[in-house]
Amino acid sequence: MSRWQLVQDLFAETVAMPDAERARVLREKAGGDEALVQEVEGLVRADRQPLSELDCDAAELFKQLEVTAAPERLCGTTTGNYCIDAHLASGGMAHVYRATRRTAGTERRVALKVLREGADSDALLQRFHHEQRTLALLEHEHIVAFLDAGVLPDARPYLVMEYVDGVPLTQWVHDKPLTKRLQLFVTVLATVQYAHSQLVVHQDLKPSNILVTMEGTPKLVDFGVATLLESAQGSVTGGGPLTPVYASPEQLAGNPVTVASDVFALGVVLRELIAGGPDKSIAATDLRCIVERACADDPASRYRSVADLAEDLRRFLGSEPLAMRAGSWSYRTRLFTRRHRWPVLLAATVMVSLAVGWVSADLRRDSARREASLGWGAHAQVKMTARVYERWIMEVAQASPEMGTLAISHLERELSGRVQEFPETETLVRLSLARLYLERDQREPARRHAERAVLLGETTRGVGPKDLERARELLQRSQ
Amino acid sequence: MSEDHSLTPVVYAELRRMAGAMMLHERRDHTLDPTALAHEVWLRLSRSRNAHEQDRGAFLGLAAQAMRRILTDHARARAASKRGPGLRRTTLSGVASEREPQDFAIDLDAALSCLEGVDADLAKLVELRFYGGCSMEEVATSLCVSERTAKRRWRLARAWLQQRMGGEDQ
Repeated sequence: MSRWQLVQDLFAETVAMPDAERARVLREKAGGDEALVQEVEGLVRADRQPLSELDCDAAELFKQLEVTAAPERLCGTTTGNYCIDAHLASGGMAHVYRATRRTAGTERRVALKVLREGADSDALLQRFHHEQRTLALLEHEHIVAFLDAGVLPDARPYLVMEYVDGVPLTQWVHDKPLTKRLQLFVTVLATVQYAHSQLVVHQDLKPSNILVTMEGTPKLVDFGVATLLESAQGSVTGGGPLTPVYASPEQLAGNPVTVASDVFALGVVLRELIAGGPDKSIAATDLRCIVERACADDPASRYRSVADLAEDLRRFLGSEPLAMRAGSWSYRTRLFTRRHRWPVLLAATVMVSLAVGWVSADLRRDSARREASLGWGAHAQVKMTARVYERWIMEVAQASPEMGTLAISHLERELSGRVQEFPETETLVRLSLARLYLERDQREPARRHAERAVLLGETTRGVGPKDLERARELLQRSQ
Repeated sequence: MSEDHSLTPVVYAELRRMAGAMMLHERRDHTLDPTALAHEVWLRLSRSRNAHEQDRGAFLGLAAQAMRRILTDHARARAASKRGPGLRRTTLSGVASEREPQDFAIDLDAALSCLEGVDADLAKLVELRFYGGCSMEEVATSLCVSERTAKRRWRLARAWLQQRMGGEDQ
């Protein structure tokens, strides 16, 4: 087989794989040929680079060749109240100018975004107006403000926005210490979270769209491909152009886009922030974990919201243990349980039967000894195991209401069984049920179980004081 | 197939004439569509030459080749008029700025010539797809491969060209 054939085959086989897996498979198949590995890796990297030019065809290129009169042509001209001063940048769809607005004797510097000549297909026009609507929807000190809109004499529409005199995020952070960089990033996260609360997914978050002013104020710009969700949990199939390095797997695959897509892009940006500073050695394991979770291939494995990501970063800045690492066991469980129903049933069953089984076996062996011992209190191991499972059930119930319902029905069923012979176990089960019901605001059944748990606690020697306390607290909350 | 080669100058001249006419007179509100253009040329030529439908695949290839030449010539002329030869555009620092269309057209032609040396079939596919404006189905039919293969090959070509053109900014 020729080398080129080998390159082709390996590329086709591995291009869709996650980085780590591809690296492994390539090493395996290349048989020590490092140059071959690099060649394929290079192609994969290129595959993920912006491809807008190659994605269009000669028709578009012809058109561009014909109509891309120098964007500078507009400089020095006036439209409406705006005097166009300088050409700042150009994208595939529009040119951006610096302009001065003169009204009632005052002057204000603004940015003018003008649709490119020839870029006047219906789809592009629609997207341009869409950006205008999106920006008008967002009012935030860290989001570029929408000021006005109009039409040039040659019929091209333009948007007037706040002028941001800033540099891309990665450039600004260049000489800043890690803490400073992360603090700024947390502000960016809060801003994206705000946009999400307005149901706007940016979809093209990258350093060049996060500008930082001289004063260190971040500003989100370019909502040109932003998507409006129908609800906060909603998703929508994105159609705009992408920047593949920052685009999530689901965006690249053309699958529905949710807030998780922005989480992914922010994770990539965060990775660059950590790597690009003067003190890269500080890039701690915790930070890498945060990046990994934000950039998980499966949207369901990522932070559920930008706020969650921000929370972990804040903890990192405050040197607290990360929610995600502290709870990584339950986190993994939660993910697992979302896909499989049985673990929650298993947890509930184990929680109950462990206690019942162990205690009853013990009873059979030596009921006198059990009496003499402090009952449930003596079965620390059983109790601990049961508590772990209880926590599991609560975690799962929080992650998925459906699983909560499942846990409730299972535990309720258990209550009518042998559990009643073992008041300590019954107490634990009722405490779990009270919590689960409270979780979903069903006070009546919650109160019923809490009441019974309090009664059991007050009348049974084996129920520990802490559990009694919990029962009372739950009873109070369910009143 | 030797018949095809004798066709080339005719196709080229015809396409060039039509493209030129479109650019001169209808630039603003008319999209220059290579497929439509090729189709029209095909109709004219087939009327005069008794061509068969099965020649269409070969013809599309020739038309795409011709479009590539027209486009590249055009881009070169434009680049020369915009600035002295040999000068390359500089990028505004920090501002993601796109390659000018004429630079892209010239770079793509050069990269494609390199690809011809590595994998001539793949270069052919790019010509059909990009310059010919052919759909994946048409590309597949012209090259006698399955549509799935055509798509897979296109992805490879895209990555290869991207790497070739992206890594050589001076």
